[in-house]
Amino acid sequence: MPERIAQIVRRLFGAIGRGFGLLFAALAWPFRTTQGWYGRRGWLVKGPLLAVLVLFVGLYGYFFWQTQVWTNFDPDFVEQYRWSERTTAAGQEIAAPAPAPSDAATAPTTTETVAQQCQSSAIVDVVADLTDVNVNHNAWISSMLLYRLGLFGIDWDNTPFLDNKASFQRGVNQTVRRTSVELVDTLARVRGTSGINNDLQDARNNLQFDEYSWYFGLSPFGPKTPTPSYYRTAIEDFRKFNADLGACNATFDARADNLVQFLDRIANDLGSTSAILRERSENYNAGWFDTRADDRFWFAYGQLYGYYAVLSAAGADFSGVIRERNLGPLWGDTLTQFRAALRIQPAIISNGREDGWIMPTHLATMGFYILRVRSNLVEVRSVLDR
Amino acid sequence: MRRAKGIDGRVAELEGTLEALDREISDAARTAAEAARVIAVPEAWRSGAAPGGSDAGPDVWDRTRLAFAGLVSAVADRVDKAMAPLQDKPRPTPRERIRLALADFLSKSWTRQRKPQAVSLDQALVLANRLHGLLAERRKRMAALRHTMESDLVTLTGHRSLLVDNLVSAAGDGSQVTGASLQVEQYLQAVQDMTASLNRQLSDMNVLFNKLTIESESAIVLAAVLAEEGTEAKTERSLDRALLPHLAPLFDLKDRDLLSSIEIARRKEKIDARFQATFARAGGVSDTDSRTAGTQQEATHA
Repeated sequence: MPERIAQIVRRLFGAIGRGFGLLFAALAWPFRTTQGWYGRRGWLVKGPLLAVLVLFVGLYGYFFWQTQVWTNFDPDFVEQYRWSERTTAAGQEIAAPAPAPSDAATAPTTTETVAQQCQSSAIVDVVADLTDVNVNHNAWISSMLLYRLGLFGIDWDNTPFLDNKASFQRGVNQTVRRTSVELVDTLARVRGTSGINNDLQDARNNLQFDEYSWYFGLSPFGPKTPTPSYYRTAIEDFRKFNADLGACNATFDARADNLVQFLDRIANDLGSTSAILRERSENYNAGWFDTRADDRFWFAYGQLYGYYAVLSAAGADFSGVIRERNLGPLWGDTLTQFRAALRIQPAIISNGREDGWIMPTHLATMGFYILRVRSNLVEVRSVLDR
Repeated sequence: MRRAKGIDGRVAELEGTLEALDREISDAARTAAEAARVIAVPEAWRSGAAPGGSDAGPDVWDRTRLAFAGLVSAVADRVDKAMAPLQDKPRPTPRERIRLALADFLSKSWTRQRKPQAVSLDQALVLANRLHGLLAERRKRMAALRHTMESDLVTLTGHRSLLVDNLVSAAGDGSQVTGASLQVEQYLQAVQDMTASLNRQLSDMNVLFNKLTIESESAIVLAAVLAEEGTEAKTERSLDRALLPHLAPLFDLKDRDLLSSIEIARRKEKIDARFQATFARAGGVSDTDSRTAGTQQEATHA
């Protein structure tokens, strides 16, 4: 009997081994055949083919590297700005420091014109920097040629591979776009009495540009300007606006009703993202094998990453409103919730059942954090509305 | 031969065209808002309705803006005409007169409809008041719509892959992902084109508004001067603010002595140049107007 069992096991492993052997042979067959064919050719044929192969490997190597390495990804990057040390709200004139007694004695008696200085906007700084990280410190994945080509024609978003960074970047970009729309129409103008700032309008127009544009496109057919070029121009526009604001030549209206409107937009955005996560989490339970779960997750993560930075900056720009309405602790709590959500960084995204015990459901967890953040924003809004 | 329309007829026609255009824009904006709310391609788009309204929208505005500019020019022309006797301009030499007459003859458009003309300063002010009301309300409405549409566009472009998924599942054919992706791209492009068109409309309206305001200010100052001198007939209605409610803020400025011809002249040059640059090339400003642009006074014809 034991002999028989051993025989069955041997046969089983033998069959598995043969199966793997056949699979390997099938996979290797085209290469071995090509190798034979390649070996018989002269260098006139070998050379160009080798060059194409090297180019192909190089491009995919670069693409793989760019999708896996996230340069300057740091959820705590807002700490570097030291906004807590700011004492003036955005757009307000900065009081000139009183001259020291020794300086006062030597000061010229004639009236000197001191250049006026205003507080620049932290929000504008942060959206410019978020875009800078997206397109200058990293490659903008969504418009890379190999991303556009997909995996044998399948959109990378429909595969579990190489699309996490692209989704994250698009999530961040969504927050930048949203903020730019609000900056142009609400925050950076005195409603009804001042015109739209041209730099911000240019920035908004540039940011609205399609996220998937490479140097050449089929619809419409012909050469195109790639997406990152537009976004880089938007960064310059943002910086120009802030320079003007710093010189008191632009407007930033840090009023409570403007902040309310801005928070509304953000809350709506987060609401629709949480609805999307809920829909995927409820209707699909493929666990580690849900190929669409990762892009949903990383898009939401990108949004939270962006809004965490933007709202931290808004805290500095609207410091006057926050102080007047006694919103400090609530505002701080909201930012803490954002930061807590950013701690979830799974290596592989799983979309298991909510009550499952083998495969976790990262989408539901992310959705939970988003709703917590959203409810805090709604609370802030209601305090501002009172 | 068709009879040329009067000012009132033209304004009524303009109002009708704008109303139809605005209805179309509002419908398109509502559909886009619905799409952004549920993150799905709406039935209307799938059944062939263009997401950015009909393709004729931009053409309609292109024609309307010229009609608008023509009416604003009519106000400006009348103000200039009323101002001419008060100016001490040197008479042109015979050589200059021949040159101007020749240029005028060569630039005449024989086929084009006659440009609108205000017969008195009084009528110019009433026209300015109507146009002011029309522009101010529409500008406010369009600015709000643009903001909403841009916000919806941000939502839609952010969730583009979900739109594709939803479109595929609505079609019930999983094999058409690439086609659906292209379709969504086209929908979003159409919405984006519409926001760009709204931006253009707002920009044109700002130029028109500025020009109309400066001409209205000139007309108010002038009407007061002429009323004192008794030069212009029937100016009493011009300064009746009850009949000109949209110009009330300008009358307030006049009351507080904040409207002066020097101040108006200072701002006018820049505003005229902008109006000229925006509408002359497109043919919205009359031939005489564009020809005479060049000096401060001549630019006021724009």
